[in-house]
Amino acid sequence: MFTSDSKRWLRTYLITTVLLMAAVIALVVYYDPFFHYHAPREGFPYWLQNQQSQNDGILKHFTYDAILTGTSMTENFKASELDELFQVHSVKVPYVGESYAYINRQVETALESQPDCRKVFRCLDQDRFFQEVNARRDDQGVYPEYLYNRNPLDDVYYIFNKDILVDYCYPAYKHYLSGEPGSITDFDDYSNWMYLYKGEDFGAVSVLSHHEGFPAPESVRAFTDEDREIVRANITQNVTAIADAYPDVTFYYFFPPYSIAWWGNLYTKGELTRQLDAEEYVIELLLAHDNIKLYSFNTLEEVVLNLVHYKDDTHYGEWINAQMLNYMSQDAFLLTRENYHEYLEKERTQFSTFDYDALYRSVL
Amino acid sequence: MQFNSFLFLLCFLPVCVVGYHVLCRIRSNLSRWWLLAASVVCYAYAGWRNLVILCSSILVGYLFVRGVAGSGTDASQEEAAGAPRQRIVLVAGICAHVLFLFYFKYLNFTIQSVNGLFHTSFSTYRILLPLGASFYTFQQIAYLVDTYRGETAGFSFFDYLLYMFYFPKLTMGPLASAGNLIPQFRKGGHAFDSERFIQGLRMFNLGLAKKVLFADVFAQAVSWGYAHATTATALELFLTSVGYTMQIYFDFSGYSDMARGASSMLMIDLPMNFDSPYKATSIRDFWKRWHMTLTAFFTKYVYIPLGGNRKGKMRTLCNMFLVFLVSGVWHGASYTFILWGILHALCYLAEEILGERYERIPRPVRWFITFHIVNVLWLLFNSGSVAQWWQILQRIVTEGNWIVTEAFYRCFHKWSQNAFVVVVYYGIAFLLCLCFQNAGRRQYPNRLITAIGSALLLVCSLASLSGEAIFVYFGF
Repeated sequence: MFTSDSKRWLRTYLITTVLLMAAVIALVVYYDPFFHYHAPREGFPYWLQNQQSQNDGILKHFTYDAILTGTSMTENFKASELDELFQVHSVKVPYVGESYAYINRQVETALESQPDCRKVFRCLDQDRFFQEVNARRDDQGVYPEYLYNRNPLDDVYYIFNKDILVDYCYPAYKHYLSGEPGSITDFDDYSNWMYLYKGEDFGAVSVLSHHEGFPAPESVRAFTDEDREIVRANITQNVTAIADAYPDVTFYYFFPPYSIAWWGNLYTKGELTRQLDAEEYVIELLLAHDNIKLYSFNTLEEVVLNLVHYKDDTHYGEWINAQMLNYMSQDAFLLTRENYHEYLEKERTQFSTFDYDALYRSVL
Repeated sequence: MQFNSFLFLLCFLPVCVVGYHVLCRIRSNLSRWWLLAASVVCYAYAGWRNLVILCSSILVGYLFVRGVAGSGTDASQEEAAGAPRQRIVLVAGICAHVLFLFYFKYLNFTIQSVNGLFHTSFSTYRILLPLGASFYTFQQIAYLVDTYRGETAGFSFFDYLLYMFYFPKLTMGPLASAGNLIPQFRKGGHAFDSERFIQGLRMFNLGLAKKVLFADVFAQAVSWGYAHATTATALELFLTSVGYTMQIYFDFSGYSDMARGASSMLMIDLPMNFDSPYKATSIRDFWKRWHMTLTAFFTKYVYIPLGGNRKGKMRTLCNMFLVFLVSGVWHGASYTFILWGILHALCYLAEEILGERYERIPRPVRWFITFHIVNVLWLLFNSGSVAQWWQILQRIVTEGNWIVTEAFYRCFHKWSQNAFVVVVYYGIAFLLCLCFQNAGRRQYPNRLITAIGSALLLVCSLASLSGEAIFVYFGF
């Protein structure tokens, strides 16, 4: 049955396999590049470069009392500026291109993991009002569910992972063994994309290159009852429910300033009225909650109407992020139950009467 | 359940093997039930729909088996073979299996072809091919014909079930004959043979490494090449072609090695399916080395019943052509597969006609010709259309730019700084294909270094099963 050679072979094979697997487990779990098990360790370098994989760990294991989250609209914020203006210690966890549902999931994780977290800063992208309630971005490869659930068995996908071993663990241990001090990507720099662009990437030429004019719409789409229900479900589940669940936390929500070109596109498609009506409904849903502070920069004319601040329809330079923080710290552009009607009227006038073709004349 | 998954490697296979051998010591019958239960669980992981369809197919298939089997004794089976009623049941059974496969695999293709040819607009249906349907349908046809010929006398329904469900071979072969496999199942409780177990373990690990460390890596480059077929350089397209040749070999043979390895750990032998096919010096030689069990199936159940080589030269050539055509169709519902089969047939027939004149060509030249014919035809096999295949071939010949860009070589390793990584991967692949004895034939001494090497291979393969979720950071 068992020859002595084969016994020795099998014993060696099993012991080697167990030892190698234990070594891999130890290497990954000890360093833990995605903070799945613990906070960063002293002496190790940590590179924050994968929102989908690292945000959850940051929220669970870092120490903070405020979070800043949202889509790419929040990537260029500087956490240090937020900390100084609001006297907090924050973490920035943007989730580019994601839905309200999955950004809300991050907020839930933060508030469950950090009882000291008292402020949530979150942008509410206006192009997601009509999103299906459980929508998520599906063009980013396989979603690492194993990092988000509580099932320890599927952590094998994290531990026995060639990219983590080669791209994260190897350089990290090399750095550690060299005696160099540890480090972690600053939250000012985490996800910041300004370094990828030069001055000439911003401006009307760049923004308008995506458009072929803003002709008048052929028909106008109304905000229907069906639309209302979709918006209600999305906002209730993914934006306001968390505020109800945590009445002691202040939620600083804001509509980021999309450029006038984005509004021009809506105008051309005949959806401007629908969007503005939806926005009114969303504002009413949000203002019904005392612990939600809602800001809207749609009427910040010096920014919205000036394409020099944008590289495309929606993405503004980091100086606009800084400006927004300053305004929020002073409660400028804050919407209240008393002033939101006036705001909406101003907004409707602004976008309904704007001469969109003038944008093209400015670049000729 | 895929063999190259954490669940299979860390849970299913160890539990199945240990449980089987423990039960073998207690009662051999229990070990067979264990094997059947494990196989059902393994297949059921693909979804209840697949399981229901497989079970239905098996039950219907067995009814036909009973129909051709007579009363079940050896004598009556021999008498039954050839009897008109049994022949009708045999033909009906084969037709039923073929219709089953036709519905799931070829119906939509047929509708689209009819629409294309006759400018009609019949709707297609939303049909998903059940996992492994092509393989288990052929297994059932083989069993039915073997029963008709009296070769399965004494086999029970349980034997049939286990034969059909047996997890190492169910979804991707090898196609094993009932006469070879069922006696091994029935033997059950046969003594644990450590040498055989180790051989199986080694083969399994090698197969896993082939699949995960080579096939999956080449797959990335191949995918890139096809996606950039109109813009890639000539060299990149040529490497895409050779890359697919390597991918399909390491993928399929890797899977077969895992199947045979897992089966060997259960003390059950499965037939060899690949025997260093890229060492072949002729198309005939290639088909003796590539997917050998499929070739054996077609020989026994199609070629020989058509008359084989017993009805004259012309009929022999026609029979060969038909076999290749059926083989092409079996591989997939698309004109690319049909043309692939036809072109292989034509090359095979050309060799038959050339006969000794071909044999006189120097061996290295014959190898070169064979490899490139196979390579070009694999490109067709994997192309989305015949037109795409032709376009790629044309660009390889006429494009003229023989460099490899960063986008291509980074398919092999994302941090590569130059194309050396391409040289390494293709070099190792050719080395493995051409310079080593087939894994099924190789006998390693039980030295500790091979134990350590095998363990290292397993852990490297495990670590390659998962990768960082791709996240386009600035993809807004």
